[in-house]
Amino acid sequence: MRRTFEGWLHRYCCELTGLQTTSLKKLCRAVASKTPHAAEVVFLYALDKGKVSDAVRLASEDDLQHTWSVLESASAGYEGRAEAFLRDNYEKLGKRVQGVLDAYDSIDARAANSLVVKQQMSIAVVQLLDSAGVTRYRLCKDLGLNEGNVYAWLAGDPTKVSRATARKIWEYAEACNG
Amino acid sequence: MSQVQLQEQALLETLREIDEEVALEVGVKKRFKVIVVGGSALLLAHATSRPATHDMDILKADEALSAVLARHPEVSDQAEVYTDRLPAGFRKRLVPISLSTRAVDFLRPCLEDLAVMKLYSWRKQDQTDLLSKDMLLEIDLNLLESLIYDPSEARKSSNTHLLYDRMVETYEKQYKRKATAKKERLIAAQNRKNR
Repeated sequence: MRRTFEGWLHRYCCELTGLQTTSLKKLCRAVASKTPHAAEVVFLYALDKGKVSDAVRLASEDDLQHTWSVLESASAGYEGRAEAFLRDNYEKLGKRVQGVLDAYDSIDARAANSLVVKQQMSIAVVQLLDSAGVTRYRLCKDLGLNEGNVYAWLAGDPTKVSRATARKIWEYAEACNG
Repeated sequence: MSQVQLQEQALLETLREIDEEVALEVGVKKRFKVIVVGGSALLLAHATSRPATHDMDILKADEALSAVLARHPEVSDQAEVYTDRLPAGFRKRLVPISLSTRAVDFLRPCLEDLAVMKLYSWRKQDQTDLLSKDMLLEIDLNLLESLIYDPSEARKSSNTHLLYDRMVETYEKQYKRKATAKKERLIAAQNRKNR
């Protein structure tokens, strides 16, 4: 299933506030009372929903209202487009607001990075297995892994094993070398 | 598993990944140090029960790690600018983050050093954190006080007298009494429960 910024933002709001709701009123109340660190995420959620003025009105604390009013002016014209607001204005935004986009981008970055790392790991594993004189077959038997997937990974296909499995194999190969 | 525990696992996984990538790309001959600060450090110290944001603040790490760290957008070394808010001797009190690693030692400031940082910021979330049950049960309030007043600690590292004085005022007027009273109540309740 395709991940969207909108869906992710909502889940992030729920995670930080501890609420399972789409109600902006409840989210704003949570920010004002017990989860102030969710302020930026809830603001962006309101922006994405086109309800920034409601959020500013619902901000019961002066500090929060001030912070959100500043963000409201900065995000004028971006109602319903929180991701575009973040991308277009990234350099001008505060660290905590930037952090929301960084967290979102880190999901794709992590997946892409993992492919590269798993390839590097497979090269290291091949060298370690060869120097220890351990066969691929023995490795698969000892770790209870699917031979086809492990062989394909060692032949250069990083999609065939998870990063956790690659790590497990790397550790095994290192242990074989004492 | 609670949300906070899940987040702790996710943070540790990020650190594990960074370590692996450093080991693969930079090598394991030299060990590097990475210091985690902010909300992530609190979470790893089990001093908060609130979920933290997904970004992780670290102090400026060795240049050799920059390529690896750049591939983790959630990890930011911009926290370096706030080292004037950490007591001068915080490096002597660093606490290792328990994680078996190949190339990188991950550390965090002790709770009392992190608390000084939070007294400087004193935003709503800092107040919530500093007065939370988890924090108060763990923090040594005597050590915190000595870090604030000792001329070789917070006073020494602070760049401006104005900021330092404001932090001391926050501590004296808004934190000290409230924290001491709440900690006493929490300990008394814990003792009653244990009896």
